[in-house]
Amino acid sequence: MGNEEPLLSVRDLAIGYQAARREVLLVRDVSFDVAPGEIVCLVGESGSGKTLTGRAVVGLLRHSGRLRVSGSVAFGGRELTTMPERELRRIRGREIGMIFQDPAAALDPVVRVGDQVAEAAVRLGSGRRRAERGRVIELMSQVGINDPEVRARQFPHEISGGMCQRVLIAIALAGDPGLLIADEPTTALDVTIQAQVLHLLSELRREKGLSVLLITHDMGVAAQMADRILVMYAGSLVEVAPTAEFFAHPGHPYSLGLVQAVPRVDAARARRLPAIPGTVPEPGDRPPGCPFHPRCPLRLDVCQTDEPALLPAGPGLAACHRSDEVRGDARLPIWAGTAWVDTARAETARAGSAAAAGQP
Amino acid sequence: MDNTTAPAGTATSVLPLLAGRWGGRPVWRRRWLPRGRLMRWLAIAFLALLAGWALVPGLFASGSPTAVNPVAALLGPSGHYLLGTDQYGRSVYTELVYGARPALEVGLACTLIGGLTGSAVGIIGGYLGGWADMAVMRLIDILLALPGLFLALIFIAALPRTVPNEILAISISTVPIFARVLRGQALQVRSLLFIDAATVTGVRRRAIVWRHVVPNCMAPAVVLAAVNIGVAIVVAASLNFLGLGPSEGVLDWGALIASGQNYINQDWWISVFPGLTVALLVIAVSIIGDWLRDAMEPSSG
Repeated sequence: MGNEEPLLSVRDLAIGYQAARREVLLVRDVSFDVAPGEIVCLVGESGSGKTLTGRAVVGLLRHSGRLRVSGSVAFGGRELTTMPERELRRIRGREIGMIFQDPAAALDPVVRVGDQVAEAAVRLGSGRRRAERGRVIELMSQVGINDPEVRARQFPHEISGGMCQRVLIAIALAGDPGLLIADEPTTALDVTIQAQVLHLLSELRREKGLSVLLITHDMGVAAQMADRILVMYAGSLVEVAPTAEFFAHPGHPYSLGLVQAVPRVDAARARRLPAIPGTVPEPGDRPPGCPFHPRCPLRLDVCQTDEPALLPAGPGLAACHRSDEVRGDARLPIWAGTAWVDTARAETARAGSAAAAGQP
Repeated sequence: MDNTTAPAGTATSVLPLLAGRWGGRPVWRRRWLPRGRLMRWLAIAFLALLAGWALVPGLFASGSPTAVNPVAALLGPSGHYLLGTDQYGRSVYTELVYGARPALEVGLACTLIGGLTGSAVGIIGGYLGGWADMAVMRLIDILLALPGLFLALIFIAALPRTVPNEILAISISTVPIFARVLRGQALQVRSLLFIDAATVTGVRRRAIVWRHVVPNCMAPAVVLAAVNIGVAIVVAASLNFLGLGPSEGVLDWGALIASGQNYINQDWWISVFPGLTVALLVIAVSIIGDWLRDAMEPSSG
């Protein structure tokens, strides 16, 4: 996929707002591409700027008042950030679709489900409401909704969350877009429904060559879905890597923590689930140097003064002064509580084999 | 005392005086009326009675409200004249019954005109925001600083006294409340996720307002309208009482109260019964309004 023209190309994206004296940046220097047919996962903790990045791509931050967006978002060679609203509207729905974290809230509670699908279908199709009835049913069955005729007459509160998400996907697909931005599409769903929705997305990618920018904090979802993984921390990208490489040789201590915090059923031996101590810094008080250094067990003096750039590390990119060491070390140190222990010690410390799985 | 009058839904607080502030309605909006099912049904029954008067007055009162009978002037309440007669010998009861229709017409017309205008201003301002919204809302602030009756007074004073002008004046006084409430609602709806979802589907802003914002603003508008019909009737009656209503020929409760003013010491029934009707209307409307608001509160689904 590497030498193909990217479908979506984000360059130097920054999102900030003007505080009392200074500008606070919520997202900074974010650059990435999404190739046609590629699934790219944007992962990171809550508050790392994933959702804002996704919203900025479709121009949802335009009327948000105080948020200022700079940088470039190019879709199919056209610049979206400076495009007039009127033109952007034609791209929305037809070329870029979006689904949201809370499917129940993303549907209008007072409008019947079928009418909401029809709204998208009418606008994006022939324009005649009557003629779109068949199209609505077709869209709804395409995303695996049983009895679409019945469901279409129901209100959002009458159907389940998983069903709502399917309806949203149907709406997003009405215009047959090339790119789908999925903002934590499965977070509000239970595990079986999550699997179904993810399966649906993979199918759509295979059948229609749909590109997906999948925003998630669930490393399991990322591992299953992604071709490439982008890791965000405190508003910056800290690592970009192909999925297999990312899980085998993460190039950033934060990524390493994320990877190792995933509970695995097939783990060879019982181990205590590691956790990354501390929390993401508030946007207002991002530490100097590497934003991750206060939580990083590998920090050096240089980490506290110089912010590492996103540089090539193996097949991907990583923003860490010690990324080669992190990548190269076969006997990877792991995160365990606040301690920094190696796998050999973890092997002996089997006590916490039933560690609870939390959000990374 | 605060504890005994606190509404049932309010959590009992260590600071009874402040309970209302955190526990729901502010202290000054405490319900002072006995509430509950009985009061609600009494209110509904009274409003139904007034509606009956307005729709089929002939069914409730015999004879004409304008039939003058000097022989029967200023008679007290009796079996024949239920609420007595006025200085021209007209039955006060019949006048009350026949006064309901014009009152209701004014109430409905003002609510419709003022409510629609106010809602439109509020929703457009709230959804679009920006400069125009600021300007309009400051104007609304100024209008809201004056009580509705006062506002209507100002406009009616400048206009010839006809029924349409009376309706116009009261409608104008209705606009600010609707604008304010609906703007708040539209602001809230605008920030909901399904508006973003419609936006990223490429739906036009105008279509978003009509299909998503307006329907989601209906609940508070309906409550406000229901209450406002009663309020408008009372304002109209007050204007008429002050002699600022339509100059001739319209039967009106306010004018009726005013006409009994000179006789209030002895022949009290001319003013008191119409006054009582208006007062009961206000109470009934506020009970129904409270009930509707509680029933439509988003938190209760």
